[in-house]
Amino acid sequence: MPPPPTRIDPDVSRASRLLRRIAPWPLVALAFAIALTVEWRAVTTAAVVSPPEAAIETTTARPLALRETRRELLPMPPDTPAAHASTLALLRIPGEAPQLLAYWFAGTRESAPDVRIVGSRLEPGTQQWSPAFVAVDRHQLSRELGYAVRRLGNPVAWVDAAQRVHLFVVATGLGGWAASRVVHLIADRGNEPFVPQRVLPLSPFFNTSTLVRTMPLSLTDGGALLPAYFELGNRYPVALRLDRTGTLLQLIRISSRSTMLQPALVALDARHLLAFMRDHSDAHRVQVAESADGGASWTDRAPLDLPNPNASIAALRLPDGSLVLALNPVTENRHQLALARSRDGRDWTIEQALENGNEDEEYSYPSLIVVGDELHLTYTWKRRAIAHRVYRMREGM
Amino acid sequence: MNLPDLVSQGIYARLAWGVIAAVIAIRMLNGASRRAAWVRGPAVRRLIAALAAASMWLPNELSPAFWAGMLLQAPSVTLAALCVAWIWRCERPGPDARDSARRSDLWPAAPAITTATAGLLLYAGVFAWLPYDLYSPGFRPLAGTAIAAAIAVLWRALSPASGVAALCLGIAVLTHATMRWPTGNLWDAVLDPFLVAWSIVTAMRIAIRSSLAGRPDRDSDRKLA
Repeated sequence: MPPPPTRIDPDVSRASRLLRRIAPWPLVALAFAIALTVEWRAVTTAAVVSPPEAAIETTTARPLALRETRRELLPMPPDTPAAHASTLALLRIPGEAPQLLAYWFAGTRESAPDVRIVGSRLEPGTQQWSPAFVAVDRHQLSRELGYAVRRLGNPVAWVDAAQRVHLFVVATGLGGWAASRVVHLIADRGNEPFVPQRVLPLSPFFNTSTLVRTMPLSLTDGGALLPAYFELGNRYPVALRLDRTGTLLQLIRISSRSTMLQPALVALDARHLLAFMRDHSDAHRVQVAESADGGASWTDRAPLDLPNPNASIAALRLPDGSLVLALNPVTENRHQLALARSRDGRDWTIEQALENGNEDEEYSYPSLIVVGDELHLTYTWKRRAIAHRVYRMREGM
Repeated sequence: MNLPDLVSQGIYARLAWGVIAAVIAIRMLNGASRRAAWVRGPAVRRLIAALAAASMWLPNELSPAFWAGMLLQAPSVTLAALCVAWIWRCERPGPDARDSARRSDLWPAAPAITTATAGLLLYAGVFAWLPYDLYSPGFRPLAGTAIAAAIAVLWRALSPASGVAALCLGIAVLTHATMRWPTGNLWDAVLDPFLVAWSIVTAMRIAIRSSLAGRPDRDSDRKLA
């Protein structure tokens, strides 16, 4: 005989349901009240973030002429056939001579599982590059992050006021460069190992499809504007404002267009900035955006009358106030590389042809930095090595 | 800007993925229980759910969180809290047999429509389908927290049965305020692509049911499986 059905008192059942409906709301109110209080206190006690201003230095009013004094290929790790995407940084430890650092990714080929971030130092005394060392290894990075990194890509280096070397490295999940994230690592005075700080939170969609490539622009507050870009379907450039410790402060969109990436930032003065961008559209021109407030906001401008074959650009302000671009001055392929100069950022002349190879050769992804009276340039050389050139800057005629 | 450190983020990720793994394990057991008598017992379910959650704390490649993080980073606090609420309801049978059917009535119409709308607007900006950026204001969360509180009030007005959903949202903003989990951006605390997708499906189901019923759906607390 089956057991009798359980008799349920309808009044108790209704009361129970009513209680269950009401019960969460006091807790909801409490949670929000505490959260608002904590956030309010955080806002009122936080240090004021001043508007950004670019750190620039003009040491000569007379135009500088560039004369090449040196060229070479950087040392590669043994048995490593491919190299790409170099970045430069300058270490200025008090009491020591400035030391130039270069980092790039190297392995069997781009996007191979064995790709690592490697580096080399230009020793101040001997002026020789050190043997290449491993700065970031994918497997070690995975263990330190707590989750897998599928591939490593572009590194970007920056030295803060405390002479800590920051590396921002592209690290992918599943799905190629479209699944990229940016990992932030720090090494004290450039000595290995680099310690990962975090993956930068740059997108709400699985924090994916954001990359770095071009070098940061230093600010007067000790921080920097780190150029980055989004690359999933549409492409657009952004600037990440960092404080003096390298902590992310702001994420600023540089352009409202959706076919540009890899912005190269340069300052005309403390508040007037230009961003020169790689063009993914059919225009094949160096694209431009401009800021009048130190990079806090940007406006799209007309492209330059310089070609761009959908390739990375480097830009720098020289001590005479002029601007220099390192770029591929063609609309297709990357077999030519050149330096262009400008006084105002609008009108440019190709000043030096750097490479002019066969159409299947690649010279690309340049980086520029000034060290004293020298302009240093690195770039990918046939995807097999990183080329380094030095130009002495002299007041010209 | 306060961003959580790597250790803190790792702890959150394992806790959150653990809760989600427990829900998945329980759901799979619910499906298997029709065929295998041994899984019907609550002790077995609790054990398997606990093991699923605990597996996230295995080292390195042995942990499912190691791979989930590569693919998906970390889920939102709202989603993790909803999973906890779901497990809580599974563990507490109500005196009314119908209550068991309402265990999954955790994300009714008002929260679903709000989240679907907010998520689509957010992602439209991220993918540059629209010319604005909603994500970066999430790093200045005072205004966002106030907006979330207003949304909870709206849910209370539209749908008194949204209490659990509002509590999950409240837990998300409180966790973000105190721990800055999961990333330091408020958006990542209150929603993620899975929650947005679930909300879109829920909202579409509401619209379809209303359209089939031939009249507006007045019961905004209607349970949707």
